[in-house]
Amino acid sequence: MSALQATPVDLAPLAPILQRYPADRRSLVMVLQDVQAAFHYLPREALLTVADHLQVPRSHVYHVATFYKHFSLTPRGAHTCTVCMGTACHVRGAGQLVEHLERRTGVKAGDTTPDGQLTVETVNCVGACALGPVVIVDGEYVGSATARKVDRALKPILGGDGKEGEE
Amino acid sequence: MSERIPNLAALEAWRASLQAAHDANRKAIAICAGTGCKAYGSDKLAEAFRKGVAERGLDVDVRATGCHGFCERGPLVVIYPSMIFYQEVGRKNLAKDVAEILDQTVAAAPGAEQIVPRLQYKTPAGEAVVHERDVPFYKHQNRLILSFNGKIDPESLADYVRNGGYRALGKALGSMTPEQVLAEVEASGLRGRGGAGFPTGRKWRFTRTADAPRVDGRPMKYVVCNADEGDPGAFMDRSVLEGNPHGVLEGLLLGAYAIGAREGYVYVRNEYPLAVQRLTKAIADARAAGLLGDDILGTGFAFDLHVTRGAGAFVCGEETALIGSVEGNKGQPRFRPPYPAVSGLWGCPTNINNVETWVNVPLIVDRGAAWFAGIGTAGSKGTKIFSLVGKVNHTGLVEVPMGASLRHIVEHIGGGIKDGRAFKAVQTGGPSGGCLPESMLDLEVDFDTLTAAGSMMGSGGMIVMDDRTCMVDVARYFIDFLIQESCGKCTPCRDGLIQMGHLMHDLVEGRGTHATLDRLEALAPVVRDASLCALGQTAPNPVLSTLKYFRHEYLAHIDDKQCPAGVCKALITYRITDRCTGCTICAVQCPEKVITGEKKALHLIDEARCTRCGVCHSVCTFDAIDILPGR
Amino acid sequence: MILTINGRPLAARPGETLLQVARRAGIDLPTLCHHEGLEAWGGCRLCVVEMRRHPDEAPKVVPSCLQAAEDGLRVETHTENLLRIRATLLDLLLTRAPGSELIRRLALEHGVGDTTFVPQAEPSNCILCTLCTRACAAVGAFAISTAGRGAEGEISLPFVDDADACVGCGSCAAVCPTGCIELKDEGLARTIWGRTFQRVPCEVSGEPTITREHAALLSKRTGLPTDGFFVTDEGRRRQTADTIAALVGVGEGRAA
Repeated sequence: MSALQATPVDLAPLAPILQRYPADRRSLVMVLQDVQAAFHYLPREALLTVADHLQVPRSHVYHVATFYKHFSLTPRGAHTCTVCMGTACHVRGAGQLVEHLERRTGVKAGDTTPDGQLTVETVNCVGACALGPVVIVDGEYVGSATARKVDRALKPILGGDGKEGEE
Repeated sequence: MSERIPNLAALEAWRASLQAAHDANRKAIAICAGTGCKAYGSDKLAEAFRKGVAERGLDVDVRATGCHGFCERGPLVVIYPSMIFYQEVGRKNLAKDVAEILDQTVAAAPGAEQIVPRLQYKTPAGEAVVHERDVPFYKHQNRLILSFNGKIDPESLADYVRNGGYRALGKALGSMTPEQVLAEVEASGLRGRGGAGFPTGRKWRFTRTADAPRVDGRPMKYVVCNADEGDPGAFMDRSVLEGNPHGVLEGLLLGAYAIGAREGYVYVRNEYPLAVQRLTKAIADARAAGLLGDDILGTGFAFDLHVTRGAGAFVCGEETALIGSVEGNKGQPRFRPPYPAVSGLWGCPTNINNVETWVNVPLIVDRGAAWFAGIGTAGSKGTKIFSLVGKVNHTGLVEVPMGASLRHIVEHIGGGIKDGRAFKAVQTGGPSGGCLPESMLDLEVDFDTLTAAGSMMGSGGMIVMDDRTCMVDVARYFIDFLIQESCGKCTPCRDGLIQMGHLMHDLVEGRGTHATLDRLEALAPVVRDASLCALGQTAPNPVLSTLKYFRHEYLAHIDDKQCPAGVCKALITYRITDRCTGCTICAVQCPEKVITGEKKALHLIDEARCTRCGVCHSVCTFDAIDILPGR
Repeated sequence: MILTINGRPLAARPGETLLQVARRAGIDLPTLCHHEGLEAWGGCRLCVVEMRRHPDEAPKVVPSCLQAAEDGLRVETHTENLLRIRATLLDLLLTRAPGSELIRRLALEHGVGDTTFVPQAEPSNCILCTLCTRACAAVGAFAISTAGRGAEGEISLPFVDDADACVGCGSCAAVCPTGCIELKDEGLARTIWGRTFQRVPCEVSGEPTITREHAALLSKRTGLPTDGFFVTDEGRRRQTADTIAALVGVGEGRAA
């Protein structure tokens, strides 16, 4: 994590994002969405530029950026494993999947592995409820997820042969 | 089709030519391309079908359609025109499934089609079903809105038009005044499908009559489609947005015409990327065709639409918070009045309706209010889409007329409880709703009956629970969810829910006493009465409804220190029974290494050190591990 | 228009809130997040009242600071339900602000001593009433805002440490009902939000006035030159006395 934060951020992807929307307050959430997508988080330097460009106070940008769960102010992992915590997924054991992932990766949901490879997170419903529990690994949906299926999906990221549930 | 349609006559001419060119007898393979089936690989499946069709030189249309609704059985494939239904296609052997379907069903002459038995739907009794209309899941539904989903390619404007799309718009712009369109919606009795059930026509009228600030010299009003669909367990709107985006557009166009709005926004939750993509494409195609923008269909009516995304905040489903979010602020509710109909987006009259509400509008304008009012009950007209999920055999999207009973939905359509277990409860209305027990199964579902029973319709999530679902844990789950989603503006919701959370955690973690229940029951009405918005006002519902119908379960947690459903870790014990074959898998997988045993001999869990993580139970293939209530 | 509060018919003007009407009639309604100089917020919920438009209706609980007065409204301000609500709200606020004299006093008035709930792990005494951020937006420099959501919300500088926008006006500390914003004035130095400012001494009395940054902000807002802000009330009093003396030719004093 500290390795990631020490590297200065290349803000080149920011300019085209700012050109995409009207330069005023109403574009803020959309701009932040695009910044999050481009950088995988909201770098501080980028947010300062956004505040200037949209002519809104830094305090307002910070307040909006910290309100929405989708935005992260700390660098995310190169890969993301998201467990849906919707009600249908919950009654079908999503909680146990989160615990399995926390054991497997050594990080709590919401955090990133120390090598910066994987962020484990939860989300409140992706709308694939009939397939619960649902886990999304780098945008790929794993339906009727089990610990085994999730391990298999994470194999290219975490290594291991994915055949056993643990270690 | 990216040519502009110059006028109403041209639209009808195009429709007629599309219909004439369409050979209803031509074979087609419709593959569901909704999020659920895509998760099971329907994209690769569609590609394989296309390749296979080309290789065999077949004159067959391969079409990716919107969500068919029977998601757990995906990927779903329907062969037209015979409507032969296949499920779980390509899950185990994609090449083989595709080849057999093509060779046996598709390539055969009409009437000589052979079915591939292993891909057929089978009833819980084991009967195989051939046609989609006979699959119990579909047979017992009344799919008016969802009918488009299985038929059309959601990325094709032509498909929508060919199936009657934009006919209502043509009728409204060509032969009805805005007032007449509004009157039709009022007469239909349509009530909002987002949760509150407010009469749609009345809301439209408030917005239509409100004074509007002028922008560019003309009154400015907005229409908004609330596609935030935050209730966990609900995915009706996702399916409509992905499967029939033009239906939503047409509804918004009709609403804008009736109300006098010039611009609109569709606010889509960020967790629905495919819906955003399909809507964006539909809007682009509609603009190119002259169905959006200035001078729509040459009638002088002007309306344009934008898509904006949420960013992970359930509270943004509340209309004033949604407005805040569209305006570029955080999603924090405001006191009403003024209602958005009077002062909404940027202070202008704004009509906000849910996706399902909007998509009902073209049907009402096309077929008339009387037709619509003929479906449903006295107080709740039309159909409702429910997302039937949880412990039923057939999970997916269910569209039924208002007034259908819970039993009809859970048993006839849902096929009863999975794995032969016992029905315990059905939860409706999301975090604002409640849990209804078996004694309420004959309830005829509509807005008012659900509210009277202590739950609510909500957006349509219907989560079925069995004897292995702990109702105390369900109430805890909803409180934890709302704690995360509370915007934090008002004391009762922000701080009251935290305290309700402490109390619920005491209960599930074995520290609950009778005083815990007293304190919950004292705090709940304060949160309900004093909160600013519906999130806080309805937050106590799951706790109160489970206390009402499942108090015995709470008492078991308190007095017996047991979780009868086998869920709450502090109140259960995992024990290996004599069904154990000594295969050692559980001992190997146990993360705490507390299982001992020789190969081929009965294994033993050290119950004092066991953390009840559930891994042994899930890996045991001999069903040899029991979860017992109590410690 | 006429409405009744606790059975008393009272006159109200269009645009008034129930809180204004009640207070004018001497009815004591507690508030925490309300300030006459700022737009009503409706977050603390202490000011809630029960209102009915028709006698046979169930009463609706609404915040009196925001609810507009209407002809014919029937309002109750101290029913058993409302008293229970206020007591519970104050009990909840004590989990956040056990050290606030105001909250403790109000709680005691409603029969609540120490909180009966689980207190916050490290209470900051902030009740998230947002008077500070709203004051900062209204008369300050938009330097602070609420970060985070729900019960995890915290009043904060951007990125926790960016005090660049703050001008040291102290409005936030002045409006805070629980006194949880640290403002330290020592000589001419003022420290707030982790930043130390220098207040400019009054050219007449030598007492501290405002910071240069605050003066620059006021100047930008009003168009007035900054110098005019560096005079204390005492200084201005003396200046005025000197001016009068010079004009009238009486008494001692420095020339204006």
